[in-house]
Amino acid sequence: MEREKLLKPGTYFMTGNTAVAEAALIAGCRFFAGYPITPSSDLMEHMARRLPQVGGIFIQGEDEVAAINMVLGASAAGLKAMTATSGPGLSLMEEALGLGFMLELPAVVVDVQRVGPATGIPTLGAQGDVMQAIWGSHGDREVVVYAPSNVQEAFDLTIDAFNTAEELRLPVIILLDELIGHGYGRLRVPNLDEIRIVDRKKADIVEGYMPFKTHVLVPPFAEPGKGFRLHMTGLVHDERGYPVIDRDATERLLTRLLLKVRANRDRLVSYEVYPCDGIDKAEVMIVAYGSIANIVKCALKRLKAHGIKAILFRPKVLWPMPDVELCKSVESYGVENVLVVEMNYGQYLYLVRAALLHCPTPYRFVSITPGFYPSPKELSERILRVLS
Amino acid sequence: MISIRITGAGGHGIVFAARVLGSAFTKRGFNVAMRISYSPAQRGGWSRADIVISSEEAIWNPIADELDVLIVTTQERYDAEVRDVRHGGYVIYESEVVKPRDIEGVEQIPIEAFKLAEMVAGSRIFGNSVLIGFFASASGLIPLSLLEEVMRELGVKALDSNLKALRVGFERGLSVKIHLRI
Repeated sequence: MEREKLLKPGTYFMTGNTAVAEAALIAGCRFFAGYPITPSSDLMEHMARRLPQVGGIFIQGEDEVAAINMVLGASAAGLKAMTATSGPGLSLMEEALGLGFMLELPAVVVDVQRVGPATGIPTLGAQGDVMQAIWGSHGDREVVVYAPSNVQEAFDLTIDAFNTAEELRLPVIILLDELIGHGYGRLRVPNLDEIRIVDRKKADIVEGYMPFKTHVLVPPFAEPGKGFRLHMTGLVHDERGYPVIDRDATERLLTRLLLKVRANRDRLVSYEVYPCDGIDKAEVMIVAYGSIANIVKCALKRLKAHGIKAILFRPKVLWPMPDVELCKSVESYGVENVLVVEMNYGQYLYLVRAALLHCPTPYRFVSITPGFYPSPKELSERILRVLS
Repeated sequence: MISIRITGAGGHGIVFAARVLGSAFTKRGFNVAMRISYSPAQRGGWSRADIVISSEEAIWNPIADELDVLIVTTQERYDAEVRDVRHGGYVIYESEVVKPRDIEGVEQIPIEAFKLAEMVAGSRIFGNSVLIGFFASASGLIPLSLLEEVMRELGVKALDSNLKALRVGFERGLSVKIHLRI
């Protein structure tokens, strides 16, 4: 019954925000709490309309703090849950994202980026939330950050995001920006049987159950109402879930939580090198992601006309970062210059710089004014100026 | 690859028209990227849709260097955006409200979309459907039946009126030739 209400296989022309919402429903999301903010509001409105149709729950919170905490609560009750916001809202949610990490609650947070800081320019896209997505919470926490660059990828990576959140039991972030969120594009939806859906592993033995005891990084989840004794706290806790002040217990808990992402790094990393064939050497490698990467792809042809052989290295997952892969690509293509292009004043740039620490290849930066997407011609001219 | 911009006042149905065109091109198997922009005003502002249609798979980029076609329904948007049309490109303008100026190398094609909409569908608000019908037949890129199918699928309000406007626009476009290659 519910399944019949999901998006049917076929080809669609829809916005990135709608694609994320529909993918979430297919992935099994049955709870959404949010607070409206441009340019993510239409994603929330879509969920408000669609969730009741598939037997899910939608709540508009009194603010973003309430929304993210409701999402964590729903997840603790066993539902796949999501929220969507923009930069200012993500700032408000960061504390709870750390809590979700500590409580090991799967959740998906979509940030449709707009110009910041503060209220910035609500209706125009940017890439200014990269650092706060990766590092925003206090303490040491790990997160997985997805960066789709078109409508199809918004759909595909949303499925991946839910699967990762469930498998590793932690909150993950999808970074869109206004151009993709509000932009329309082609979406091909395969047969639902062909889409891999992961559900969190559930505990089956009530007797002697320890909610945070595991030998495989991710403990099985205790379903409420099944007789499990469960205590959850944001304080450092032992395997029973009770707060402790103990060096070994602290070390055991925090390293295990961090290892969920760090030990799975190779599996989580995802990137594209464009063009993927016909090139074995390139003078310039441009690192870009999200919507800007599309403009870079178009600009590559113009650079070629100016005699510059350039390729694009595009992380689809910003964190964990494909740093080793980036260095290897620089070496294998014989790259002489690395160029980071972002719609901010230098964020992923710092991670690229760290990745290239032991690589002699020089790197440079092209900053695109937040909100104002250049045409491929304008961007190629900027790149040519920087290279000269 | 071709780039089309539809622009006019908020309330002219710019986004709707663009969605119909974008969906139709998608159904024809092309890769379509579309961007919507609008002014901050809730009323009396402008609205704009940029559509880039290509046969290349790997790129989704709605931001083109220049326009092949500008479809425009207000003088203000005409004045502001006609400069983005490439040499050899086309402007389709609502001839009741837009007074074009001479531009070398750009073919400017009038269509009294609002008046035609009023005549066949009873209201000027269906002018957007006249315009997309006109573009579709003038360019020869989209058959009428496909546009009708898309309108039905989108669950359009006042479907009959929109279809009437679409058809009259399509008929008018048959006598005009726009040369575009995707």
